[in-house]
Amino acid sequence: MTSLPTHSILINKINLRSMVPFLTGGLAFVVGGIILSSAGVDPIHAYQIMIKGAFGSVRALADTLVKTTSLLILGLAVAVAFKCKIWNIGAEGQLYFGALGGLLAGLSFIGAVPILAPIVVIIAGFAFGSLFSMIPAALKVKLGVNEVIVTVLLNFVALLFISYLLHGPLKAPGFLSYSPNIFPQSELPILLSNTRLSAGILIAAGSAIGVFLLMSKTKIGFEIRSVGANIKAARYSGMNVAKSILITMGISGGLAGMAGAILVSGVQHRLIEGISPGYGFIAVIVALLGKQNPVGVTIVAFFFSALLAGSEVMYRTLGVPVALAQTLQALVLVFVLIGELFLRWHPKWSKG
Amino acid sequence: MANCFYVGTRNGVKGEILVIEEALIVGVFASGVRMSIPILFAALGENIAERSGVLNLGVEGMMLLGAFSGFMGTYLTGNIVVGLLMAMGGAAALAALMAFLSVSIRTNQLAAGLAVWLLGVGLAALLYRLSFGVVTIAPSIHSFNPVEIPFLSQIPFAGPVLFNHDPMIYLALLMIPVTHIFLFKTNLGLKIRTVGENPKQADTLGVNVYRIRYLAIIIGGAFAGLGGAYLSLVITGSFSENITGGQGWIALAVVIFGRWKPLGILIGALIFGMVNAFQLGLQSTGTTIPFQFLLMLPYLLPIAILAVTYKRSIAPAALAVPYTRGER
Repeated sequence: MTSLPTHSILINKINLRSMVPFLTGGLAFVVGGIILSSAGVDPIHAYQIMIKGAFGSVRALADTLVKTTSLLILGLAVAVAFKCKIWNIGAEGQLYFGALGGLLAGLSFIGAVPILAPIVVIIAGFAFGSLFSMIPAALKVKLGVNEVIVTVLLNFVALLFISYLLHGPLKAPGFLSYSPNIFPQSELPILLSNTRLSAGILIAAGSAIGVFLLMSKTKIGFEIRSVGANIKAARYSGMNVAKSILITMGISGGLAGMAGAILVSGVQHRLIEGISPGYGFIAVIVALLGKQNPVGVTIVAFFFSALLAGSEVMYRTLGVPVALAQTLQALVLVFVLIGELFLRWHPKWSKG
Repeated sequence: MANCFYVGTRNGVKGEILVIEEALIVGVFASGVRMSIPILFAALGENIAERSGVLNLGVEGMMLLGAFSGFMGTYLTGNIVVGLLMAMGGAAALAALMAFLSVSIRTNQLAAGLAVWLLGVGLAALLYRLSFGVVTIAPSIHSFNPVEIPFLSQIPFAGPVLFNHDPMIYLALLMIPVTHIFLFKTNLGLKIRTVGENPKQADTLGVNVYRIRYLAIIIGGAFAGLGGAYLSLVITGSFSENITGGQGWIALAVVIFGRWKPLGILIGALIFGMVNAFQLGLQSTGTTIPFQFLLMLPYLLPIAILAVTYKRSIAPAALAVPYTRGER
C-alpha cells in the first residue's frame, strides 16, 4: 500500500464526503475576494457581475455554452490521456493543429459541399490533432522519453508554426494576420439565433458520451485503463502497452484537434492566432478536477466556462483583469487537492 | 556556421564583412551566456528538489511569479537587491505550497506541480494587471550596470563573452560549485540525496524525510525566483505575462540532460542560451528564414536532446514517489 492516487475516491460514494471538494473549492473564491478587495474592488459586487455575465441572459448563457464546448472536449482529451497515466499537457498545441486541419478542409473544394462539409472539417481537425500528438507518443514508446516536457514544449512549436502560416502562406489579403474565411457551407449551424452557440455543443455532449462508452464498454477502453492502473500488470497479462499508449494519445490529440476545428467551424469561421485563450491549459485542471470521468469533466467544464464568460464581463464593466479567472481556476484545483486530505485522513499522517 | 553571418550584410568589401562578423559572433556568444542564466538558476534549484525525490513541474510558474515579484520589489523600492529578495520570496512561497501538496498531503507530484505552474502563471498575470492596469508602454526599472572584471575582460573574445557582465551572472556561475559542494560534500546534501534515493533508509537513520524535502523544494523555488528575476530585472528591465516563455520547462529538460549534476546542468543551460542567442542574432541579420522557425529552435532543441539522452539518464531512485512514514 503506497500512496493513494489523487483521483480514485469520490466516484461511488455520494454522502457528506462528496461535498468536501465543493466546500474547499469555494475557498478559492474567498482568496480571490481577498485579492480583489486589496486591489480596491468590492468582491461581492464583482462576483455578482461575474454570475450575471455567465448566466444573466440568454446571450450570456449562450456564451458560457460556447466556451463549454471547447473546455468539455479538451477536458475529455486530457482526461483520456490521464486515465492511461499519460501526462498530455499538449492539448493547446494539438488544438491549434486541429484548427489548421479544419481550416484547410473548410477552404478546400469539399468545404463547399453542403451538409458533408462540416463533418469533413471536424474529422480533419481530429486527424490533424491526432497526428501532431504522435510526436510525443512515438518518443515515449520508442525512446522512453517522458511526455510531460515534450508535450508542453510542442505547444510553443505549434503556436509558432500557426503564426508563420498566418503571416505567410495562409494569410488573407489585408493588414491583419488572419486566414481567409472558410466556405459558409463548412460552418457549423447556429442553434440559437443572435448568439454564437453552434452545433459544436452537441458534438461536445456526444464526445462525453462517446468517451464514457469507450472507456467503460470497449476492449480498447479496458486496456487503456489497465495500462494506467498498473503498466507492469498490463504488460505481463499480454497487452500491447505501446499500442495502448499510441491509441490513447491518438484519441487525446484527436479530441483536442476536434475542439480546434469546432472553434474554426463554429465560432471564428477562420483561423486567427489567439483562437484559443489557453483552453488547452485550463483543460488540465478540468481533467484533474473532473476525476477523469466524463460526468465530472462535464460539470467542471461548464463551471469553468461560466467563470471565463463571467470574468470577461467583469473585465468590460469593472476592469478586473481576465487573469482572475485563471487564478481562481488554479486555486480551485489547489484547494480541492488540499481537501482530499480530509477524504483520506488517516491517523499516521498526523504524526508525520 | 560562420556562413550564416554573411546573410544580410550587403557589403561587397571583404574586410568589412569580417569585422561585422567578429563583432556579431562576440555579441552572440556574450548574449548566449546571458540567456542561459535564467535556465541555469532554475535548473540548479530544480536539481536540489529532484535530488530529494520531488519532481516539481511548477518551475515555470515559480519563475514567472519570481519575475513579477522581483520586478515589483525593484519598482517600488528602487533597489534591485530588494527586488531579488522579493523574487526569491515569492517563488519560494509558491514552492512551499508545492511542498505542502506533495510532501504533507502526498498529492501526486505531477498534479501538484501542474497546479503550482498554473497558479503561478495566473497570479503573476493577475497581480501585474491589478497593479498597473492595461498599459501601452510597460513600466520599467533601471537594471544592473555591467561589471568588468579587471584584466580578464581585456582578453580577446573570451573577455567580452565571459567577463563583462552584470553581477548576477557571476552569482549564477558561482552557484555551480556552491550547489555541487552543497549536494556532494555537506552533511545536509548527503541527507537530501539519501532522501531522494531511499527515503525509508534515511528515515531509519533518523533523517526527517518530510523536513528535508520541504527544505529542498523551497531552496529550489528560491533559485527559480532568481532565474525569473534575471529575465525581468536584467534581460528586459520590465515584466510581461509571457516573459518566461516556457523556460521553466526547458530547465526541467536541462536537469535531465545534466544528469542531476551542476556541471552537466551548466553545459545544458549554455547550449540552450547559445542556440537562443544564435537564432536571435540570425533574425537581426534579416535572413529570409521566417522568424517563427528560428524561434522554434529553443523549444525543439530540448526535445531533441531529451530524445537522445533520456534512456541513458538515471534519475534519483525515489523521484516523484511520495513518502509515507511507517508504510511499507
